[in-house]
Amino acid sequence: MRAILYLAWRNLFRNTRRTAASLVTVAFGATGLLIFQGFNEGLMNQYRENTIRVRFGHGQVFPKGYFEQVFEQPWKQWIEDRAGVEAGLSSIPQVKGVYPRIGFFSFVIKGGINLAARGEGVLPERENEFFSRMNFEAGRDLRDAGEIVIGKGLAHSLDVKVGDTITLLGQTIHGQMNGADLIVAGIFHTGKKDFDDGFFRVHLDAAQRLLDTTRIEHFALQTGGVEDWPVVSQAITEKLPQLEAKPFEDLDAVYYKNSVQFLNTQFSFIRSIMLIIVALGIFNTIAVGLLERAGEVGALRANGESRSRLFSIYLCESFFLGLIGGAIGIGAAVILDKTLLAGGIPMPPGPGITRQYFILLEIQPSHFVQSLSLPALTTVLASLWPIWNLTRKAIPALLRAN
Amino acid sequence: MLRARKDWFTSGSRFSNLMWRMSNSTLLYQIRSVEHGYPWGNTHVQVLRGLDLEVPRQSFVCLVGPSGSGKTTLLNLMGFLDRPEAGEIEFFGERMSDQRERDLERMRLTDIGFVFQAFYLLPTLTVLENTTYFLPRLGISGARARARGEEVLARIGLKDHLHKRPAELSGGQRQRVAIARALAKRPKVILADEPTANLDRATSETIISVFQDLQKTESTSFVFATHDTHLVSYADHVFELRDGQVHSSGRKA
Ligand SMILES: Nc1ncnc2c1ncn2[C@@H]1O[C@H](COP(=O)(O)OP(=O)(O)O)[C@@H](O)[C@H]1O
Ligand SMILES: [Mg+2]
Repeated sequence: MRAILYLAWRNLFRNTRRTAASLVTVAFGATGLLIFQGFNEGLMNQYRENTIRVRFGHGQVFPKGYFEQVFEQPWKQWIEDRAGVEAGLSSIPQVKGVYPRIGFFSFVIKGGINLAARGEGVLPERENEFFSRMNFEAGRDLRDAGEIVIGKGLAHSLDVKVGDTITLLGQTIHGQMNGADLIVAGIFHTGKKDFDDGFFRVHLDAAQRLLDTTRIEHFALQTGGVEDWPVVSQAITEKLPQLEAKPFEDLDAVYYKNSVQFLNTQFSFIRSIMLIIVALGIFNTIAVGLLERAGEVGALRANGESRSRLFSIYLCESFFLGLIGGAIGIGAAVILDKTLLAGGIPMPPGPGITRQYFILLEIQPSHFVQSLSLPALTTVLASLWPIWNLTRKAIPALLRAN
Repeated sequence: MLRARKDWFTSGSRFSNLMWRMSNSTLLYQIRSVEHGYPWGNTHVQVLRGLDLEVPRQSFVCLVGPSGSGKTTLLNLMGFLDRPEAGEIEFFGERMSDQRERDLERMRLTDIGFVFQAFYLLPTLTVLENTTYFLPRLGISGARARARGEEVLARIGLKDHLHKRPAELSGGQRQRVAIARALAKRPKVILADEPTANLDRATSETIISVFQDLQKTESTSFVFATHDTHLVSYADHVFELRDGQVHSSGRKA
């Protein structure tokens, strides 16, 4: 075994230019994989942060069973003891912010136009720092109870601009009609059509006045990070058994999970293409390189060398190429990440984002393992056939080859 | 003789050496009615046509004949690189047709040393590493392999080049490494295809005297396919290949 490894190692120095070409091919693949994977991770984190910081927080707390069921009079389920629950939630160390909210339906009226829309009452003075990713096409976020911010599609349908006054008309929880005149402070554009076309936000006080209640529908939570959620969720189950906690990915199941799935599928596809390019390059270089060894393989076999030993030596050689090339590629990717790409990769505006932004590579330990092992494996697989083809040849044919 | 006795106990192929000495056959090779050829388009080119040949033990044999007469073909068959289409080759009384592929591979390793005109050394290994390449598989490794390699290389006049690579050597020196690689195995027979084609006269002389020495001290046999009349002049037996048969054989006095 040591002899095989030694001979394989020495073979790397046979034709340094060809070895260099193979190493560059493998390294290219490893660099590409690592950078692309880091980019993908960075992009997913951006998506996640947007999902969290536009609307949902790291998670939300509802009355137990409220999320799954539909109630004819939902406010009957709402939380009465706002201060108590808030104190309970705040006492969990990983919870960094507690944001009471009410969700409700109402008519939005401007001139002769009257549309039904979904509204949310929030505390802007508390929320605005954390929920900072909402993208305003015009105006700004909410500041006080006399204002409203509405989605772009809704604004378009109502034909309103920032500074216009619109009327909300709905029912109180006691069944009486109630209304409020609010000034449009901002028009947001998230890229999620249902949200932009039928959603508005007002101050929690304005919402409670409109509904004539002091109750709270749910609390959005800010934690130290997504990794804190399991602990927070566990603590809520223990401390506040009348409530139920949902993480952001369950709250935005369709959009967030689809995005993640899309990115993952795209990554797998591009990874396959990269590996195929590596495989073709290696196959070609190895096949050509082995051709000129026919004579010496013939001479060795004429003196009693076995097919299987030669096969092992050449396969080890490929494996070394794959490992070394992969390591070089990883080194190159890390250097690129620290230099050229240190400021991130500039991205055109994506869904929910209208400004250009930058994706930082977020390279995880598991990415290193993948970017080393996949190109190495690909190299070995791509060289299997040329090696087998050479070693299975009859000895006289090998000796006549050159 | 003393050297030979010592070898029984040091060589990896001690047992096969013993078998060889005990074998009844006086012949190294007995070749009978061998036919061999190659496919040529849709037809078949017959190269050897019922060839008969006997090679005694411990002999120095040259195969001569015009280019294309089948010298390489015959040498390949004698080295178990290929099986004849018809006829039988006996090696020390053992019939080749009785051997499986693995047995032939083992015989190539222990009994045969093959040398080629184009040397076919491993360019990435040193002279010494090339020479000892097969020894671990014969059960000789580490310091013992190195010692044997150095001994063979010294004998053949390369002791100052142990750690050079083939590319740093002249053609003649490379051919000597290829010969050393075959000799290091201490085979029963060295088969060589045009071994002196790349050597100058002086080097040829040195090598031929090494061959003759080994022939006497180790009972090694030599079968050369060659055009080199100088080499031929040292042969015990000269066989000429023509029309697929051994036509005339000469014997040195
Ligand atoms: N593998 C092969 N395929 C086809 N023809 C071959 C092959 N090997 C040898 N020949 C032919 O067989 C004949 C004898 O070749 P060879 O044994 O090499 O002769 P020599 O060594 O005496 O020059 C030549 O005509 C050669 O072209
Ligand atoms: Mg020939």
